Amino acid sequence: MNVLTIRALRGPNIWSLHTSIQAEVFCAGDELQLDRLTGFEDRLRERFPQIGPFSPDAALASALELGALGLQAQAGCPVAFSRCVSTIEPGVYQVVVEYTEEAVGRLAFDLSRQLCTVALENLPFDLESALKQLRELDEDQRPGPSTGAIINAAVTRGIPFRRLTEGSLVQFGWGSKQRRIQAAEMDSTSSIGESIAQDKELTKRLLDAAGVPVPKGRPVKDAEDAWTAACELGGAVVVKPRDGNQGKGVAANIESRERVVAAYAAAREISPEVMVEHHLPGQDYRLLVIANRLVAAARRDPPSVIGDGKLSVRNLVEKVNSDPRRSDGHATILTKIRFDDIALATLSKQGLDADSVPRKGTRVLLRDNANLSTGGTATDVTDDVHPELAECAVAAAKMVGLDLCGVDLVCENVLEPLKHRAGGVIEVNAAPGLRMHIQPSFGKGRPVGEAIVASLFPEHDNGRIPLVAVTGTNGKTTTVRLIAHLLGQIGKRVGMTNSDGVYIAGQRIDTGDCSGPRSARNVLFHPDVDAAVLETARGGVLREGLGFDHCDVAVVTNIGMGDHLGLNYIVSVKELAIVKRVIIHSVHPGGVAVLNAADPQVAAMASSCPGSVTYFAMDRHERILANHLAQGKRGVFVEDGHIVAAKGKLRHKVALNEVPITHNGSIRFQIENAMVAVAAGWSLRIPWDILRRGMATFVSDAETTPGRFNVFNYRGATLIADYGHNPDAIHALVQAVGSMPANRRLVVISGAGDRRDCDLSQQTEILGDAFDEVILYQDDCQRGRVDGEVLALLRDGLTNASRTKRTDEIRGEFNAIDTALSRLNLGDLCVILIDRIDESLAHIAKRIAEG
Amino acid sequence: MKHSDIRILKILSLRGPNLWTYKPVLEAWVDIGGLEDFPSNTLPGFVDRLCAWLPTLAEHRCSYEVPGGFVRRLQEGTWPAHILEHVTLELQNIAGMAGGFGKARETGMRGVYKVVVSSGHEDVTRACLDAALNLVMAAINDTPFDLDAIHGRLREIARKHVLGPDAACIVAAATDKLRGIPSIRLSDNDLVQLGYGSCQRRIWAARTDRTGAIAEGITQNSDLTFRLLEACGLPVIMETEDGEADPDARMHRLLVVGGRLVAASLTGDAETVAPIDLTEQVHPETAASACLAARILGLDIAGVDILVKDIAHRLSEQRGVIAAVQANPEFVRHHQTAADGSSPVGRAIVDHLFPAEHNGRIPVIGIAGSSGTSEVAHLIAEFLRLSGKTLGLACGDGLFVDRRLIEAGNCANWRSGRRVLMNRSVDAAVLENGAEVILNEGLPYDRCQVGVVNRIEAAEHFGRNYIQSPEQVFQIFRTQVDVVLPTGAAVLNAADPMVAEMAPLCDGEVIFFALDPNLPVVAEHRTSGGRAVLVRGDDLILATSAEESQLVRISEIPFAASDLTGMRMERVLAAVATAWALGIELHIIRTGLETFSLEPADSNYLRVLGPVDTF
Repeated sequence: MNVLTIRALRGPNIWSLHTSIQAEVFCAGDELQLDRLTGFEDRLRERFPQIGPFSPDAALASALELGALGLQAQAGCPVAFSRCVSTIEPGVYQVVVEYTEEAVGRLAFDLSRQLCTVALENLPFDLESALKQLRELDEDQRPGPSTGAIINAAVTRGIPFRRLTEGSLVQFGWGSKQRRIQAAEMDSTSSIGESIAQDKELTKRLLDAAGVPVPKGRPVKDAEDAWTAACELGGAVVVKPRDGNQGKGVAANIESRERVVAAYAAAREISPEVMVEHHLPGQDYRLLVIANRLVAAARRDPPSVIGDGKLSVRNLVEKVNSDPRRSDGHATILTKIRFDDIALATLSKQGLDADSVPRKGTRVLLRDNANLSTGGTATDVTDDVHPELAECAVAAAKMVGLDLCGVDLVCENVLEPLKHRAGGVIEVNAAPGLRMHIQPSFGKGRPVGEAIVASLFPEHDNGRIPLVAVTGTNGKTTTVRLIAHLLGQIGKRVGMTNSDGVYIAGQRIDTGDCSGPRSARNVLFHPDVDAAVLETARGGVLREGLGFDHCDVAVVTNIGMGDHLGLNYIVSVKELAIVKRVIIHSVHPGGVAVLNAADPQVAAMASSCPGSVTYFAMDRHERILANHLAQGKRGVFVEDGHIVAAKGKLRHKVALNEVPITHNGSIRFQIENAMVAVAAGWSLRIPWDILRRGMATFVSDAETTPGRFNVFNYRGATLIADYGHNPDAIHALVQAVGSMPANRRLVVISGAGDRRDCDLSQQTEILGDAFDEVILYQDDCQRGRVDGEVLALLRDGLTNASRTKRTDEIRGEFNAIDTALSRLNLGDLCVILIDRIDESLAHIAKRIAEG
Repeated sequence: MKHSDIRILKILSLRGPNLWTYKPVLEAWVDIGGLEDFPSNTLPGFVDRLCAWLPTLAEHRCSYEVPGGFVRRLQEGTWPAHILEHVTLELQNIAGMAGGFGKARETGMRGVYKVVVSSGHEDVTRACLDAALNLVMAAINDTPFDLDAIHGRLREIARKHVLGPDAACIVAAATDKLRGIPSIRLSDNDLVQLGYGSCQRRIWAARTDRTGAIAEGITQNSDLTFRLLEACGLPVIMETEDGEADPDARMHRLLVVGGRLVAASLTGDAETVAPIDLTEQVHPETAASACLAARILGLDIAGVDILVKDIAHRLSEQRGVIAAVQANPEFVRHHQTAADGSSPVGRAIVDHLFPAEHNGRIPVIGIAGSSGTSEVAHLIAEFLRLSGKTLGLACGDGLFVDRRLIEAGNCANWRSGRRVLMNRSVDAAVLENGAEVILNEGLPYDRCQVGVVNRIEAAEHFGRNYIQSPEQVFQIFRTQVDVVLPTGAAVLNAADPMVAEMAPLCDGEVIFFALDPNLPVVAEHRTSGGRAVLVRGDDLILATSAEESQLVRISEIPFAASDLTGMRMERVLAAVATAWALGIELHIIRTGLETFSLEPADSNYLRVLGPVDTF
């Protein structure tokens, strides 16, 4: 078995809506049928008993598929989808396995390969170590508990998300509506607020100003001053660094001179400035404030064991740590108590060591702070918090200036308001841990992620911007531009991708073929984008899936005879339809698919659409359109010189003579493009007067839609430049120029090497019946063909030409153009099928300027 | 002969508007002892020694209003307190706290003076005062003095305490005459509050309270920064690594504030070369790219470093790239400032924080007088609460936010006033100021919307702080009227001649109040278009020049009904006049009067937190 390629499908794809690993796998000989590999299945199941069932006549690739899925599932990843499909290449299979984290999916795929190999060769397989590897990688890769909770809350509300880094920086929503979080920080979380919270002395002064009770105390200069301050305060004190977090360098509840001096030294290690404050008796509470509201509260207890009069402290800790709910990491509710130097130091403060046997019922602390990561516990007390305490926490957050923070409160209990001097706020934490509220050790989990998402996006706002996806064999680019133009009419700054670039509000920010998912993601990331119109070509869908999860409007212009057939195992228009259909699957339930009723492959996609369907066709009586209209559903067609948008008795009309790109309704393919745009604009609820104005003001020239039926005048001859490169496009062109008067008709054409032989010669077959002279050219870019091969195929197509009288073969695109221009006379017509759009249009413009 | 030391009897830090000036000052009470008999011209060599040590004293104008004026005074003979004032100011100059106000005044007690010097930072000014005293004594007694050591020490103290250049520049732009936004420094670092209460914004160096923590974090990771910028089509420095970088490309710093390009400089070697301003030259597309970069990262203030040959042309024409984006950009270092130290960047940041019609002020009502001021404060507070404001009240009975008692006891002081103004919840502040506050602490606010002076009993204030005449008492209380905003009002008791006399000092409107409706001063005031709140019979009257309208019957005000002296009624009038000045709707004032009651403070009900139902 040989793995030929592996890629990650990072968005909705031809197999499913799930993120998946896709591999091409070559099997040979007995590998083609598992039951011919004697004993293989037994050996496989011996090594990995949980692998799913497969049929005996499946290929080895199928075992690879189920292994990769099963290993992920056993490691705790929520995955369920996998496929193994044969291709037209003998022995080549496509294996698809869902993943939740790409790196984990890839590792599972590798491990499954190893598993298959060792099962074939009867070698050992360490399943435990493989699963451990996967689990560890997954824990490392997947969002942490705080980030995960926020993402889940967003997903529940239908808000799209995208992780911008491997860490916890996440984009929610799209374009100008996007917001960001990073763990428990929001994009609105103030950097100054965080700096204030970091400075405990400053925080205390501000809280005091707001009337929030804080422990008395002051910064101290040195150890001696620390002792002086402790004496001034009287009673037990806390010594802590002025800057610091997570309880580092903090010594609480100390009274003796010796311990104050020692604590000063420890705190000085963390921060150059040290504070001494009154020790507040009571419990540690954490109050979580989000957007000036108390969302959760927890009591935090440091790790401790209770003596039984028999076991030593060491044994008691071991006993507690044997609780299956405790693990070494964040994966479980509790973390194991660390029995380290800090624990021993804490014990010695209590006059104990590791081997002491505490008396029955004695509580022995293993740490002074209650961090979950070192074995502390959190108990939810949200419902107990007295409204005045909640108000106090909110006042603290407001004064420090944090929209998301954890307020550390020390008091006897949270059921009553604070009594004078008997409790107070000791710290305000920016980017607080959320785990203790989402999954407290004891008590109810709180909807913290939901609260954060609610403060990012008001109710009923899912952060999405209108998104239109367009695909099809021909007309995509003009359609995309036209729809973008219509959205621009209602004041949207449109982000547009197509095969010549990425455009933001009319400005090109990237060039080249940008019809793939990377460009789509870039548009949806751009802060100035209010609406997106994305050309979605097959290449990207096959390579990586879609760059978005859902769209509002999905347009499939046509499939016709297809284009690029033969690439990526897509050999028929039916298979091509499956690729193009992916965007229809991605239509959200309230969205619309705009489908060509006259193209059977396209029309059939309706059943895949989760939303509603608007059909279009030139002829209202087209069967599928007529049925659809009869059911009171939306359709667009042409009648009496108008594009008509109809639903039930409702009619909206756009006069063709007011849509310049149709040349008064004479160019059929432009009418179809216009119908699509009208249907899309209707779905986007663009008001009809604005939509009509948009259709009237859209111009298709070399500036706005380069390479899309650009018409020029050259010395009194009509020149048309177009990028059409497949039989359907050529048909449409011939139809379009057929209605334009001309003395002599010339055409300049090349062929792209990645098209099938029959598609190349078919193009010239069509042209041979419509043009008097044909100029064939070939350029350097042969896409895998040998020199002259493409020209030969094009020449073949002209063998039975009914009209063509003269054929020339030229090297170089510019040469071919110049040759054609030199032959033109007044009243002639010349179609130039350009290949390198920008360069050739520039060349043509230069020649026209020269006169 | 060796002269004995000048003794400092007391130092008052007046942190707000005071008897002397609007700005913070230190007021030192000094006893010059026997030196009272030795003016400067009688001390052999003193003037020469002093001027040799501090040659810049030659620039002090003093009462002659010309440079050299102070040296002339020295030569003609002046006394050590006055000299101490000038030397302290000069040492402040040397320490780096330029400019300043100074005064030296006799107290009426022989040899005892009040020396007043402006105080940019209390600790620095104290150190300068201390050093000035030693310097002056050394010059008097012709003893050696280590000038260099003192300079070094003072500069060090100033460096530690004085606001950093970026924050100072923003604060200067905020507080200047054009914007008039008040500022409160919140810590010894560069954290400053601009505006008061709920209208405040904060800055910390060149960060604002809108500068996002996530955005700042992204800028610290250049790989991530470049990746995000590139995704939006911006050229970044990494792209040119394989292509060769333009050897003529130079580093430019573009500063974006609130989505707008506000400055651009050729930075080059910022340590040694002054930045060259190129703001006007930047190609609009390049400016747009800098703004987009700030927007992509989510920064309201960003320094965008662009490596390009000519900033006046498109980046794409010359392989120009973004080399870095800085949160908290050090704009004073990177961009030109005007000769007076002001900077268009400081102005732009202030305009970004406070749109044109906002000056960060909440209604502040200051109440001064010899008696009854707490009651006036409670009444005004009640009207404001009823009008829906979250109210901060600092008065003799405690500190309240909304109806909540934050601190019990006398809170009519600077510190409590500041606590109210720092509180982000507070929409309006009512602050009581006794004579002691003005004398010993200064007012807690720079200016107020309404300044109330109720009644002055001059004799009550004699004896404290060497106050001994009614004129001096007048000077104390006029401070309250001096700080009224031009858009505000002074509410003055027309029946108290000393109070009524303050009317012309007010920058804003004056509203008189009086139990006697027929006072000539009131009549005159109304004739010239002024408003007044009066009692006529059983009616509480709101009076304008032409009209009188009844607000409420006196018998319907329970608070005043029990009072036989009429003192309470006067306080009611003061509060009503204030509410009227603030534009509070009349039905709210009426309801407040009908329901207001003032229970004496009960020492048992102290609760640090919790609703306070009664006073």
